[in-house]
Amino acid sequence: MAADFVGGLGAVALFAVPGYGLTELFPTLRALPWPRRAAYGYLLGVAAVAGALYALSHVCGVPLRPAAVWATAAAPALAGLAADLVRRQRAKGEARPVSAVPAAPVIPPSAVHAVPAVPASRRSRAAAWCRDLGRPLPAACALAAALICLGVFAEAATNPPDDWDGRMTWCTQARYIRAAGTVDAGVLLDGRSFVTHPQYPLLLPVAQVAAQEAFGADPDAPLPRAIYAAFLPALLLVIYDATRAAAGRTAGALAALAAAATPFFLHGEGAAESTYSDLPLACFYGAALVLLLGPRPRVESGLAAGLLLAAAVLTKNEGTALACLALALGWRAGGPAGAAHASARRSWRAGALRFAATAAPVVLALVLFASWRAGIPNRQDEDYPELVHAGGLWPGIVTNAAEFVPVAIDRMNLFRHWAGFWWLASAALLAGRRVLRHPRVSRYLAAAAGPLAVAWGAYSIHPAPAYLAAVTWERFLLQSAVPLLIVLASALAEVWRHLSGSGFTGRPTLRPWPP
Amino acid sequence: MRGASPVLSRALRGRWSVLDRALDLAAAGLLGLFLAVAVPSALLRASREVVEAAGTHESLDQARARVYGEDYTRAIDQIRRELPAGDSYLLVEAGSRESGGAYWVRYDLAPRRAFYLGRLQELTSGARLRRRLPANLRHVVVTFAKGKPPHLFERYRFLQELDRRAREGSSGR
Repeated sequence: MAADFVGGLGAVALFAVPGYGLTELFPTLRALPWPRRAAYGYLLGVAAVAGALYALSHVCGVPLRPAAVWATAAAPALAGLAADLVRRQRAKGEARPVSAVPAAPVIPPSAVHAVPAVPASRRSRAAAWCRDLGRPLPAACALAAALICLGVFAEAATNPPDDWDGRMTWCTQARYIRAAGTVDAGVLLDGRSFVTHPQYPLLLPVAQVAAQEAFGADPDAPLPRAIYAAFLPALLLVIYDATRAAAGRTAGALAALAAAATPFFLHGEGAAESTYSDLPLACFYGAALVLLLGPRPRVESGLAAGLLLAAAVLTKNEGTALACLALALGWRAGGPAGAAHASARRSWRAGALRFAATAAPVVLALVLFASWRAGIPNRQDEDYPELVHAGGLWPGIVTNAAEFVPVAIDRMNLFRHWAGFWWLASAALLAGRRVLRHPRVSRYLAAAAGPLAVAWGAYSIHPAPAYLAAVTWERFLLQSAVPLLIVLASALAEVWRHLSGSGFTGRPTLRPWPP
Repeated sequence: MRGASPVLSRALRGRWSVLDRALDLAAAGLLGLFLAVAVPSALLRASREVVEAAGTHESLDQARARVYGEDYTRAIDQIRRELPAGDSYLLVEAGSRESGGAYWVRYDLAPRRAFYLGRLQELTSGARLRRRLPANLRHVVVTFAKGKPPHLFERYRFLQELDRRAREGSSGR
């Protein structure tokens, strides 16, 4: 067990360490306490390492072998280290004489108001982390969530994959590309060979291959499952980061705990104990939204969000639609329309620069994806473009609803999957409905509706909508987890404000958000 | 949206009816109930998973046998020995499609390339099948329901078997 556990930790570190290094380049992420910084770092690490290997393999023909994996992982880690050293050197240099130019303020994505100033020493960093958790209730929530994550990781690190899509699609593709040493494996290019969903984007299978090659793992070893399990704490920390800013520390901790305790997020098809790509997509999409829709977005955080959205594009087909939606929402949030205070209004030029920084990685990912899939004959897959072309969208968007809506409701009512989460969510959204009028909450609500709109569209044109809804609806709900839980936490904080008059945190709970 | 006040607390100020109060209480109650039910259950399961993982002292093969079944794992290992990793094979599905048997075997035999021949019930004539073979391969793997061991045939034996079944079927009629 110890060897499996260590192997799993190694696989996670292969992405977390370079990703943590990358966060050094983004002031908003660098300023976060280390657990939340590590969460964004892990996501950025998977995006950068697996994404770079995907591109290098397809564009330059670089073989997916240990040398390439270690070099790709080392580059961002070293870049981060160098940036850290340079920053420290500059800080030392500026500390001696009286500094002429004050350092630019560093604003974490979550909030300007909640996070204390970044401490210099390691001890004060640890103290800041403890302070970040605050009172006993958030600390207890963090402990419970950590134990739940440990259980998921222990299961994943010691058992081979046993889920449906993981073995049907993602892990099988990983085995093909590992053996071939390229993302353009012959088996994918040969239209006669039996491959399910051969045109699905391969970011996560490439991540699996990277971990296996880096550590020379046996193809049957459960090591790649650790990569998927590690997305759960990342999801929880991103949820905490965003809801803490929106609704307070305690509401944030409770929202993260609610996500950690929802059975489907842990054991469902598509969740942390599976090898589907839905949880990674939820993390990439959600973290990008937090960076884009947070208070005072900056160009650097726009670039980080762009990297995460690029990863979303390369993770699942629906990632493209979600990335476009996130870009639109980010543009709206950062543009003059989103600003109500004249003092906070940003110039069109700054907004355009931020948008360009976000969009550039997304465009590159789309080009890479289109180029890669162009050589692969599609088979064993639903041909959605053909279904749309055949004119099935209308009136299917209305008529098919009668078939799939009852199925979707049934799935949400499954107690062993959701433990009544949707009853709580319905009541909370109804009770805290006024909070939905706030521009920032309404943007998160629109973002949460994105995956569900994609699902609705797919069910509208599919010949068997009820079947498709039965096997995929809950995965679309998982994809919208981050924005949905932010909205839910805001609504619950509002409910608490009504009931207590003071709020979760002992101070006005729903602080006015800088628009 | 633009009409909404930027200051949330101000935007939310308003009259609260009895219904609003009831909704607030229902939401708070459901949150408490959800956490009271879901958190202990998740913690219990997590503890069980940690204890199980800590108590596991098994090899990869033993772990596979535990999860996929002993007979199935033995059959897969046998086929892997007979079919080198660079080889390809013809795949026939004998179990129901919903059981996913063909997918599990394809995964376990990857990176060996599979060429799907179809469902066993639909393959009625060896001669006809011979004419529409997608590739000239020596081996046929027949899959069954989940957990049932797959069978490896030489192609000529498999086609002979199909013809024999067809003859038996027609004489039985």
